[in-house]
Amino acid sequence: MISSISSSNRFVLVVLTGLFLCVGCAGPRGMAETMQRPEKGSYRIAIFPVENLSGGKAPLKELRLSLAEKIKTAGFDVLPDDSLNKFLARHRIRYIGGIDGESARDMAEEEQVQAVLIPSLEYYDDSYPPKIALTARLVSTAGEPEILWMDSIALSGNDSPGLFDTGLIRDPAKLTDKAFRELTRSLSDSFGGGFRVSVDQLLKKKFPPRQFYRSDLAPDKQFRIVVLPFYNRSDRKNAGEIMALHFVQELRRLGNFTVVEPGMVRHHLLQYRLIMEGGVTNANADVIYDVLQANVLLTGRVIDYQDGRGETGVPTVDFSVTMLDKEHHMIVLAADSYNTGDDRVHFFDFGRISTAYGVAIEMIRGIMDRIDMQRGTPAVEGGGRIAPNH
Amino acid sequence: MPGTRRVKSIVSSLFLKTVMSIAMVSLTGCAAFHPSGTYRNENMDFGSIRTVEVLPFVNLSRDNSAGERVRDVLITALLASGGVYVVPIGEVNRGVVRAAIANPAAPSAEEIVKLGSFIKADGVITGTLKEYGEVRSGTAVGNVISLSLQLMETQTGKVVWSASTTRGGVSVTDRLFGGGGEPMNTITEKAVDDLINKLFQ
Repeated sequence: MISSISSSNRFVLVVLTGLFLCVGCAGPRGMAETMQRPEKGSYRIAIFPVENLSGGKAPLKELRLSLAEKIKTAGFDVLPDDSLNKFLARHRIRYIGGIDGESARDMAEEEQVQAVLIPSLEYYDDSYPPKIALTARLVSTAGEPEILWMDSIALSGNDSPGLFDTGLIRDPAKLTDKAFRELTRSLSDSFGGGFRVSVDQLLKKKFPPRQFYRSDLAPDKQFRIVVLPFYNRSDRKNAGEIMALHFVQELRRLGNFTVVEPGMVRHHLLQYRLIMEGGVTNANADVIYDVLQANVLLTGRVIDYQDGRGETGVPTVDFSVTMLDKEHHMIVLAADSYNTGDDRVHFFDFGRISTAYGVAIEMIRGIMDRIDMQRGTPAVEGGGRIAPNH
Repeated sequence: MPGTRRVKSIVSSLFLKTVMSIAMVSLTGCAAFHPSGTYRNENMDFGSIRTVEVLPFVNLSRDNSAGERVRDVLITALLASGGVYVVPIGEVNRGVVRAAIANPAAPSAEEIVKLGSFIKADGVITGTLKEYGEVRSGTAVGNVISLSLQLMETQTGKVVWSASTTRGGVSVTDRLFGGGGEPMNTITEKAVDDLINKLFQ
């Protein structure tokens, strides 16, 4: 009996010692992490008014308030609206789709803001089925503005109708709420992970480009890329800006591309009066490379960007993209893509994409997949392959 | 008996001749419907053309943006073929302005030479988009594209290659079962691939 008690005591003692050791190991690491990273409550964010790229009417104030509420609930310290409005008025900031270096510095000094959240509304429709597509990015105010986090979401009320239409969302407010919850969760997760970019996010469904060319993009090289607004030849207003934002988001996920904040790009284009009506010339590109310390530049053309109206409308996206490099002044990447929301539908609307955002993102992911450096797509050797006459 | 045999052999040879003639006429007929539509300068060394620029197309279709659309597809397809390097559109436009080309879609030989001196390209591609969009035949509907291209060398301004293609249209299946034909995107891609194959053959 005594021996059994003593043996069970010994067992308990060993387990307890092990547990203490484990706790001892875990404790300092957790503390170190919390010391390195700021707490959400002490991380002050200014939420810019929502930039309306939808080309139509949308309840922008309500959307911003709802987003701010979600971010506050997630534990972040949000700059009060009064302070933000006074700051914007004081510095005569009218462009809310990005932030330049000077404004970011002023915001950090005057309002003690660590980052600015820039939401851009791509699509909003409150008639049935309600639809919303929104992109948001967090830009640091310390030093040169840098994109810390960027994500986007597009939802439609009939995305997952479920059994007997029980999954339908008819209320636009409910849909917006769902979209903002997702975005806030993504922001919180990214904050928790020290704003590290997750490369796994590339492994999703994608549409391969219609035509693709790639050359001289060394896999071991780091690129600082400027994404210019695309030339908009579509009927959709702001399609050029929307497409540029999608590329900014997806290029960041590649890992070896540092994307220059679009607000900085716009500021310098205006400052140096760079007007590129017929496309980017080498002279223009040189100025952009120099002032933004970039080594590659991305531009393109949107031919079609249509959101499907109503329940049966099919979204269509058609664009071409070109990447130029500083070293050789040559095209290092060119792609041409065209897809519609029902390209993957084979029966009963399975695989249907209800927004142009959804189609565009999958098309861009198809291009990103081809330039994904880890995969090492063989570069095309250019030059002189037209067969000579015999 | 020998007489019957001779008659039989005459009949069979006549039958064979008739069948062969019909087959030949049919084949000739087919050839007439599908002309190759390609011109190649026999004295030109196409291997020397490494860089080309694609000028804006003459757009004869009803769709205003069709010319730009097809030009974009062609530029990427030429690059993707790995055969030639294509000068970025911005540089081409700058060259057109510097060379003071009045009509960039249809430049003269002198203008081509001048353009070549500003932009270091070996060839210039011009094109005409004759048809792009929907066609109707009775109640049947289909999509059609008709495109012709010309390659001019920048040293002399001469046309060294020219080809045309037509894809899509209303097929027998479309007439019988409807369906609207192939999507515009697919036939554009096919037409451009066809022309590139003709260039590189």
